[in-house]
Amino acid sequence: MFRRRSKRKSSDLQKLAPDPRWQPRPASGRDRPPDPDNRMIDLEDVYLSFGDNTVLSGIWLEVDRGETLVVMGGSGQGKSTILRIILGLLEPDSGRVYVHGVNVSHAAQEVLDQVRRQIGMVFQGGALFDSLTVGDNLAFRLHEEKAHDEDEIDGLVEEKLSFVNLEPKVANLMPAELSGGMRKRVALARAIMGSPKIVLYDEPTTGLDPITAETITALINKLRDQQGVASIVVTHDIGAALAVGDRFAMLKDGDIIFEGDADEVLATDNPDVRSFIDARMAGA
Amino acid sequence: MTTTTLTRPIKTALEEIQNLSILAGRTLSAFVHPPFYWRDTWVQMDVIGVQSLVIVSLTGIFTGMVLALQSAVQLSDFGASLFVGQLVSASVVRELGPVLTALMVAGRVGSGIAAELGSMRVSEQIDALEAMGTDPIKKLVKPRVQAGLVMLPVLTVITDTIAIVGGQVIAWLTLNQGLSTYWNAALNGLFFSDLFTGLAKPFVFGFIITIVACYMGLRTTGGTEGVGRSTTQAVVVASVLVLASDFFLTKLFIEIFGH
Repeated sequence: MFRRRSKRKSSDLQKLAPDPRWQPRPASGRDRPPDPDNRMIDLEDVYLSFGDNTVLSGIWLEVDRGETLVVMGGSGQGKSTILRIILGLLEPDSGRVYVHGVNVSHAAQEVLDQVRRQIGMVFQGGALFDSLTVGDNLAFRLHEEKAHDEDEIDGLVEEKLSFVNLEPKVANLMPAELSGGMRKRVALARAIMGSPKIVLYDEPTTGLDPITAETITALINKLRDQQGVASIVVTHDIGAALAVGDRFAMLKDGDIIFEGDADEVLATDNPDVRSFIDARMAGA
Repeated sequence: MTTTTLTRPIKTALEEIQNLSILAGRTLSAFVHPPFYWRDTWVQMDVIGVQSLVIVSLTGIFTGMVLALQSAVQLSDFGASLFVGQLVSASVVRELGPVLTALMVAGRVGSGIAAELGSMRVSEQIDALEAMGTDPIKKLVKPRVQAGLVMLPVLTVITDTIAIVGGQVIAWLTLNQGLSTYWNAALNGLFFSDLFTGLAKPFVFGFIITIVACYMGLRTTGGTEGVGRSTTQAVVVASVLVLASDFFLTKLFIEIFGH
């Protein structure tokens, strides 16, 4: 539970070199060959169980730069688990997880810490630090890295708040003073503080009213279009999924049962996908 | 009853001990590995130490007064009421001061730490820390344990002093004993071994209380209900471990000092 991953000599950490065994496969539904420079995430045959409960059974996924992959599925199907595995918060039982070619499954702690600096994560409830102001929440990662002076950090905080359409004065508020939509936007601003190449979203629109949800989906698209980040959005909100997704994967019983683009999602006759979409559409 | 039913609790208990030991080991290792969060340690010293002053002061004064009251009655029967100060100081410094302070801090601080870290765990704040490349043990556990190690001995000295003063008030009121008589007896009753024992124990207790509370907080599952469960477990386990370790420490110090 509290085991930390093994250490490596600092010489091994100078460069996060791609794993020589890494062979990016073509993204599903794409005819063009894979481009290693643009491939940001690869999950290869990933298995994970908790005791007798198999959560993921042989998952293959890939995301390119500037692309948003939406992972859909019902509750408890292992969607959020995929994000945790990419972040290295969980180690797969078997299989490989590559972030820009670096194998993070069973990676040394220092490698993992460096890889995590390239990833922003928007947690379902925001996961803002209750004891810190919004400004300190945003500045947290930069303070930890100790690579910027206070004036630079203040400027970046203001810039990211502006990116998510929040006024600079919000930086002085405590998380408890924020509405649900503002929390999500602050969480998104915090996630992009280090200008990550990858952003992971765990249910970014859950619990929000349709207008606020639309604001969030617009921000996700703005981030992809302006900064070219690779994103994985985990959601069971089909409206939000269609608004942000370039490609879609449907997870059921730990397996990917469908992959395709928006047109293929809407046209599919896969009964599981069909019933999921119809149920969500009816619910909306 | 199947074998599995019998062995499962034992296996669970062993796993808990193993995980607690790993956390304790990693925390001690973090003491010498950067980054150091001295500001957080300072804040925790305030939370654990300064904010516990009232509760340990009350504990000290009433403990000293009760001890003096009981011993005054008993010792007067033997014409030995002059030894009230000695009895109070020796009992408080060796045993009651460290243990009662630790139990009060376990209740106040242990529950607070477990609740805070438990809430952070269930609201994914700990995951967020890790996702940003920050080690929660260095950021959250180390400052609390460092503060516990420093503040428990300080609080114990305060409890001891106030308890002896409380005893003096009772000695004066019930036995009409003068200030110098009481304090001479109180100080004559103390040896180096008592002072060493009285300061070494809270050091260990401070570690036990904070590491157990952090462990219970970090392993919290099951939402707000789980936070409540962790809080209770932190206080119960820390209190029991304080009492158990007190026995072994007392035994150890008797072996070392011979009394």
